[in-house]
Amino acid sequence: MHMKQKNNTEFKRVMRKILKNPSAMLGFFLLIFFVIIAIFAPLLAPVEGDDNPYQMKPTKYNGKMLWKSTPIAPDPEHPFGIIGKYDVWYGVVWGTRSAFKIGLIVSIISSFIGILIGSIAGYFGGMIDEILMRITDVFMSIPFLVAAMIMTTILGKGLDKVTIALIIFGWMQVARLIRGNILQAKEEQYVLAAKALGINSTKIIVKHLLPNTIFPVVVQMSMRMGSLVITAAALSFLGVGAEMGYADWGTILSYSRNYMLELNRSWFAVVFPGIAMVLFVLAWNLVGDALRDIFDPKMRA
Amino acid sequence: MVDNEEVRYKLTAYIIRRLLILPLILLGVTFMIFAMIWSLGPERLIGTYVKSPEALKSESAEQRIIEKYGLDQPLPVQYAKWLGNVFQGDFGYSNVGRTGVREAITSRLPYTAELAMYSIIPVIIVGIWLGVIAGKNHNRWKDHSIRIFAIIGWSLPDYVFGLLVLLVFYSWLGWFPPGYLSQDGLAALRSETWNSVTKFATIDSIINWRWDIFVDAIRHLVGPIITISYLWWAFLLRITRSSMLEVMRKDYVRTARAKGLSEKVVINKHVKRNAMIPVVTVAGGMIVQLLAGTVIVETIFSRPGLGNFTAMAAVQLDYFSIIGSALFFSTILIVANLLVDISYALIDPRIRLS
Amino acid sequence: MAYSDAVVEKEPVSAEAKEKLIAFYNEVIDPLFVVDGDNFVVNMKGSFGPFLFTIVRYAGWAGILDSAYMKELGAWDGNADGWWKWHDLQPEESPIHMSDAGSGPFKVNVWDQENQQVVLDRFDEYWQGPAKIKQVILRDVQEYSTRKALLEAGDVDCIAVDPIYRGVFDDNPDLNVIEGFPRAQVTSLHMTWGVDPNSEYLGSGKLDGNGIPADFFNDINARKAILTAFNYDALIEDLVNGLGERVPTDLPKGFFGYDDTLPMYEFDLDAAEQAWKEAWDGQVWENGFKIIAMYNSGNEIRQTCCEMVKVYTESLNPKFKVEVLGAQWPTYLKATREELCPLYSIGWVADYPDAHNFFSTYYHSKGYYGKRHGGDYPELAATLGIDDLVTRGATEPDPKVRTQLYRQLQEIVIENYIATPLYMPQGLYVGREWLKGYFPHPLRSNGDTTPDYYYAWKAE
Repeated sequence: MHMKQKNNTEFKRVMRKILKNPSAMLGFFLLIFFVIIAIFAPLLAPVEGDDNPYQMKPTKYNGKMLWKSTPIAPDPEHPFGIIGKYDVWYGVVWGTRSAFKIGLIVSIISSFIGILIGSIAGYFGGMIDEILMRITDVFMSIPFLVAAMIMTTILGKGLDKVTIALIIFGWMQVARLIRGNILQAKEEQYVLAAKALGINSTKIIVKHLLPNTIFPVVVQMSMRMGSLVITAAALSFLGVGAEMGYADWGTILSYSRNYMLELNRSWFAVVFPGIAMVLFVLAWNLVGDALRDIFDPKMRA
Repeated sequence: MVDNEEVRYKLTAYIIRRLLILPLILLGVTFMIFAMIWSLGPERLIGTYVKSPEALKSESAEQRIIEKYGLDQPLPVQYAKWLGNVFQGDFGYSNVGRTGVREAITSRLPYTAELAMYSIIPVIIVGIWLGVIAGKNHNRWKDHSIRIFAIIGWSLPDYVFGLLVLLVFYSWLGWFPPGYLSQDGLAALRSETWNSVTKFATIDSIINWRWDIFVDAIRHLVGPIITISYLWWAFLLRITRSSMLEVMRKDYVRTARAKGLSEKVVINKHVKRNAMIPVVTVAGGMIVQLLAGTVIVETIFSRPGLGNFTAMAAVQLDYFSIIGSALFFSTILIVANLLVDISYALIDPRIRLS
Repeated sequence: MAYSDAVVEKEPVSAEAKEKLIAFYNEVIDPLFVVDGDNFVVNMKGSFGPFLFTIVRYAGWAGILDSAYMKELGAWDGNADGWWKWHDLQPEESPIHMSDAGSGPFKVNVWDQENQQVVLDRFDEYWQGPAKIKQVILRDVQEYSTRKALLEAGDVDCIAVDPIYRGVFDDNPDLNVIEGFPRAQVTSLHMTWGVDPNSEYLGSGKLDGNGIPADFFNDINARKAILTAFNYDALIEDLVNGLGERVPTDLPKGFFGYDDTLPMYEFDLDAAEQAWKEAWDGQVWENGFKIIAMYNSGNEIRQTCCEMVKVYTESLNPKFKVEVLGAQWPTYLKATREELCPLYSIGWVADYPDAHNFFSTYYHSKGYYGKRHGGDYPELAATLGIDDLVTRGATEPDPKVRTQLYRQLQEIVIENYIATPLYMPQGLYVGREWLKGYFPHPLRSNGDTTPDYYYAWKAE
């Protein structure tokens, strides 16, 4: 009873904070909007055949297969226009799913690896800490582009391969963050007490240390959700990311850049995926900022 | 109170330990990259040496290249061979640079360093300025609009914004052309009378009393700088803003306020200075990122430099160039991090040097 | 004794090996080339028409260089003893890798690796008289949009433009666009008759709808079905904006032996359906298949060719699956060279202007692409007389006989769906109006994007 009541007031506090903060509101609103688009993607942009829906096929124009790459302005059938034979509307809608997919998978898995390594290093200290942190340093010191390039040559091209590369080279920040926080929290009274009581290490880490240190990781995860989309877009530009024809905002933008100096002919191929990307990144950033403002113990007045 | 002597002793020991570990990390980095490339197998690695399938017309060409470069040798053998050469100062031949890897990197470094040097000024000054305004006006419309403005820049892929800059400032206005210098400028740089001291065109032109080239160099720098700045503002803004917010809630600031000091004095005297500490700590990492991460800007603005070189090496799987530039960037990154840690420790002696 | 056994690390393994190497030079190589005053005589083993072209003008496969200057640079000293030290060098080992030698109208002033440009200065004593242009600057600007901006601003005089962007420059009165001239190249589809059974690109390796058997394309109907379900006209008209032409076999129009009375494959989905029904005794139609069509990543035209195969082939039967796969260069090289990939898009640019360059490459069972068919191809090429016709065509001095031989050869490769041409690309030149003197030349490298510097000039 007591617990429930506490949760309830906590929830009210959070809601109040969000409602009072217009940019947080905007962030959550945008996020919900994107979630809805992602969920209803098959209705908004129906898939032809039972193929992989993320792999776009050259579209039909005026009832005929289209084999021309040049941009074609929006019309009722293709509300966002066509570029490189692909329907931009389809790409933007399914690109929402790609964005969530890459963001969620990468930030969850790499944060998990980071938490695991960071907490082990921070809690046990000594030799284990030294070795794990030096491995972290090695991973941090490899230029990401080089790593991604080699990884995609080994694994083959595609967004799923980019995801793997982003995970393998994306856990180090979290590991360092967690380790630093655990080093601090380790000296706190309650942890020392738990240790003195002989509670085993895993339990101490999971039950006592992580809940008090994980918070910055959550904020960081939400920020990263956005930035991963940008990274993937940069990789597309460098020819390491997904192939043209994959439903992904960055891939479309990277293709349409060849028409960017004639914006009067091609604006739709830059503007629509560009806006989607900006709003997506913006949403996660505003949400991340809001989370920090609300939950950060250091920020609580 | 912390003993000063003890802090100094601890700091020195820490620096020495970190420096001793440096080669070990570099060894780890190079071995890992080596292993990754090696795992591609000799049949794919010949792609480094063969630019078109036509070059492999003769039956034995493939085998010859494999034997020539020892591509089929076991990993430890190849790595040891490379390492042995490195100790003799030979980092291998760069296919992309058509020269030794070391020469290729050192000759490209000034171009990137110059761009990074000039970019970091607007990035830091404007970024911090925006962050301070946003922090001061926490949750007011100024805060919201500045943040949204900065995040838009950050969330546009650099090639989109870079091309927009090119479109507006070059195609429409004709002010800031792509490239490093105009052809006349390049010819002057190549002439024998040119006194090349820093390899930075902007500085060398002053040394040589060539204002035309100075202006030329600046004209070619503005586009990339605008692009880089807008991309980075959001990053600095966030750090400044949140550390401002944090500091503003600190006891001494509250005390200052309670004492009746004006908001302006509080912000300028107490908040700003203390809020800068975290900004210092990210600056080192940022410089490295600027040195390494300008690939796209360099490509769009057709500028020479390390980013371009690394990207080309990576795309062509140019074995030695990749490892060479990785080695270079890792060294800078580690040294920069070390400097950041030291300056952090000097600013705030309470931090743990563990 | 093989060369690789005789020489290890640029040194003969034994005195005997050394003797043999010297003898080889004296007996075999030396008599081939005779310098007689100002004349350079090559004693050839047999007749080969295009020979002269390979050493002069635009091909540049070999060149005659000044021996005194070359020795000065550290190249071969001209002695029989020790020639192996200069044999089989990688580019960077060659003493002339970074220096220029020749007798052309321009000489290299600067090769600026960092700024990625080459500056050529006029050579005033050129034997045909000095060129009109004093200096040529070649810049490597990788980004198409940046190139385009430079051209439109007038900071460069001409740029390379992909045919996909044809028409973009037509309304600009300051630009001169020349297009639709022939190039000595073809773009084709490659089908591997005998894929490496261990290939990762085979799927299940059986006709169960999840892959293809390794020898899938041994069946003529499978080849026919792929080639008749391809919209050649759309490829040319739409994708490359009309900058291409159909050809009956993998030989560019205008070459000796080209014959436009030969039939061309037609885009006919009914015929394709019929062929699939007959392929593999109806098993293909019954069970379906899944095949991988590969292209090297970044090549949009090849990607679209693969997509075209996918769209039309899949439209015939819901059990047909074509997966279009982009591969990075090293992977593509391996997959195609080692017969791992069943289907991919290829192209050939003429080395020298002769049909033999194409026929031997594509159709001889030991040719560059012919070899990659594998499977039943070598046997079939022997039975049908393809190998024999290619060889005889190269050495036949009588043009009439040679025409007949090539006609016969091309009929065979068409009938058997061995010829797989998609189209012959045409050139597109885009330059400033003030840059004069451009003329297309099908064999000059970059002949479609830049003028021949010797003949070019700039109007004031």
